[in-house]
Amino acid sequence: MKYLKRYWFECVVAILYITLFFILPSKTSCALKEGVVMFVKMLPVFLCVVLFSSFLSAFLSPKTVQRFMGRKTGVKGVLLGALFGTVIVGPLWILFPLYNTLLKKGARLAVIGAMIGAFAIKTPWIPYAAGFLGWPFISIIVILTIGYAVIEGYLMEKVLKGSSKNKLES
Amino acid sequence: MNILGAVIYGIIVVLCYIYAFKKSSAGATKAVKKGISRFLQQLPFLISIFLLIGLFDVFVPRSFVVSIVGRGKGLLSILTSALAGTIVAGPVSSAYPLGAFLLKKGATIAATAVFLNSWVMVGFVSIPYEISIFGKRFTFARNGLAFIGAIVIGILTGLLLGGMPT
Repeated sequence: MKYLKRYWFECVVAILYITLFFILPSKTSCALKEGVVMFVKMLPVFLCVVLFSSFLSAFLSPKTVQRFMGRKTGVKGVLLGALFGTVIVGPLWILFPLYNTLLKKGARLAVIGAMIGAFAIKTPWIPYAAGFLGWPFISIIVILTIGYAVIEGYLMEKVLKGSSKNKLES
Repeated sequence: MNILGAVIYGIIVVLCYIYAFKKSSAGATKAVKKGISRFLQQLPFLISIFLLIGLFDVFVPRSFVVSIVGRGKGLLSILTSALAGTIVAGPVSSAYPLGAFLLKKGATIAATAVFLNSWVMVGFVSIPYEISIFGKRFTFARNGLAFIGAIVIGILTGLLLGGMPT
């Protein structure tokens, strides 16, 4: 029971695969192959992220985090967070452990929220995207997304104000 | 792109640990151990997410997604685009060509922008993972705000470029 609760997501995926494999074997193996290829490609990045966040949690002093991302940083900190978010590449959720480490060290929720929000912009991808969609389209989306990321950060802080920090860490 | 990203991350991590081992090798060893154990702990979850993305990608065919985006009139088309963007999973590198294809097929700029934004900003498949790290409230607040943001940004893009649905 305990294991089921912990691994429910894995179980659901496994059951889905087994069921679909009996109905549509060729399509399912295609999906399996795609999933495995993506996983293998992302594995080194994830390993780096996890090692980086464990490094930060051991060696980064909370004081530094608080100075740059803490409660006292005003709009500047949030904006900086948003800008920082645009530089990172990879799927959004792969960096969640890192963000969590920063939050635990006392980073302000608005800063992390803005960082995650701005993550929608992948700076190295911009020229590639513009090749398909044109520069006006991409430039407008980029500017609006950075703006919204800052707003999103503040809104998240407002919405989650009630929940204690401990709950977030559990 | 992926390789370059991984190499950059790798260099950063190596530099960090060189610094760490110089400063305190005991602390650095502990950090490595902690990182690896967390990595192994999250590995099953990670594999499952990728496998689920694979399923979504194969069983929710692109043609189906294309048929949803921009369906309906006015604001409804915005909403269907946002929903379509939320359920698709897969690397963004495939999102942009798809966006171009949608525009060519006659989808409005607003609908296309909403679709692309919600694809990148809202993570439907990774919600369980997000909850396991940040908790429910954070996850729902973030995805909710991202969903709204995708719509707002898309509509503004449409207004600015004159591509609003009528």
